[in-house]
Amino acid sequence: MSEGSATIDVEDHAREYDPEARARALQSLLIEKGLLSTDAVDRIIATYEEDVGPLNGARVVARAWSDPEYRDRLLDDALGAITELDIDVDEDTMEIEVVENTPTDHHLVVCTLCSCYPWAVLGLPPTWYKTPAYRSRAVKDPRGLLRGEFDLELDEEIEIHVHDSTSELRYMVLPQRPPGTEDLSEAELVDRVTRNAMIGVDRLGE
Amino acid sequence: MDGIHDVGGMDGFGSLAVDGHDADIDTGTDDGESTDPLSGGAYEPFHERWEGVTYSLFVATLGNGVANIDEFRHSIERMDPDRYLTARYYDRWVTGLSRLLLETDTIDAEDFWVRTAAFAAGEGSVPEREEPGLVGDLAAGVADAYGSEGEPREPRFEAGEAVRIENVHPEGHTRCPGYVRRTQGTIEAHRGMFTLPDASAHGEPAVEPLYEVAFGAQELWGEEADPNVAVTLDLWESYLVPVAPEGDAEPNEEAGTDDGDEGNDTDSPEGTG
Repeated sequence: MSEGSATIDVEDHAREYDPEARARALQSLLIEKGLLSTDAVDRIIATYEEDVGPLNGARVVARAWSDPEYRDRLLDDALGAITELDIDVDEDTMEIEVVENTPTDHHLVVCTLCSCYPWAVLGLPPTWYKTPAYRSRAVKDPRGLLRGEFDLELDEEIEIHVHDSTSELRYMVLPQRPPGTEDLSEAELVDRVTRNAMIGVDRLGE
Repeated sequence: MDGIHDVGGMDGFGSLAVDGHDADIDTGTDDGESTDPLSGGAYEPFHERWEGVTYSLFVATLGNGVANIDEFRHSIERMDPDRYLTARYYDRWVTGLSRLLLETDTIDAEDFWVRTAAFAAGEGSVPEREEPGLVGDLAAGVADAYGSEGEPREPRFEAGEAVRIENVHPEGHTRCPGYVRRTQGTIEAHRGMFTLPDASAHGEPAVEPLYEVAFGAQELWGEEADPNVAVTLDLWESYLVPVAPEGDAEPNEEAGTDDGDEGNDTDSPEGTG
């Protein structure tokens, strides 16, 4: 990389100006240079605000609760099973592993190094997921974190499996099906899934 | 690099709800139910328009081949530590992208400074330019920015093997968190060939076998840690060294490529025979 034009100290610049002004400056420069367009900005924002989101994950979970063969496929080959539901996953940028909660095992997802998250099924991550407070504590004291921050008291007999998302392989939790939902349709089951349960900071089923 | 971003296991960041190190609106969430977007909460991936704009800057930077995903992550990691901890999340992105666009001479430093000052003074305007085919081209470019080509090779380790994590502290980018270095884990699965971030972040595309490796909490955090917690990470082959069977003075660096269970698969006493 060239040192040529780096006569600007990025950190000094960032301390001088708010992020919105810096983002708008980059946007205008990239549009002028033909690297970005007005409609591309609109399309990209609309994709993340409207097309992808945690409802995709809820549909996957409800199908797995309703169809044991689908559940088996989901745990064996998550990408294949997810795309069966017409959910778009770009395999070049993300692989997905689904991990299943049971009465004796609980899974929790984190990215200690940045903010990796299975956004194709859950949308973009909530702010708390991206904070040092969550990232630091999830791998060291997950039981205390869940109790203190999410009101989730896990019996000490329940083994917690923390998944630190260090690669482009992303994790989604398949929660347990809540009791008393035996008569619900798949569409009704979708409403019983929470985003937080698919991260593992919420636990359904007990 | 042993940077501020590598926070796994650090203490003192306080509550998710009140610590204020991220000024975004929905930081306060001590009640998972009330803020869950599938339980009546709002799903707002971007709190303000400029955050979504920043996401499109990321797509443009990767999609035009200016930088790859590992160079982007490393650029954020190079932020001043105090700013890393206090900046809003998408401010970290703007900072990381600014650095990449300047270092590659994609934008001119003086233009950037002058333009930013104009927007900060309320005098900037974003030009309108339509290019309907661009968004598809950018998506294809982003896919390229995530993957390196490389020859597949036989994985050195197999499920069930004990491994030790290298005690390395590279100046550059790595996805081997500090908290697992020098500890011992167990290979859970071979994940296939993945781009090696340590090389890719510095313009040297390479792929390596990736493994899911599991660690007991007591191995990571000491005897006082919860015995019923395991932490798993996906780690590249060059982060790992075989654990010598008991009785061997040194791990055999050549062993384990094709000799299956013989030799270095375990450190348990009965595994030495």
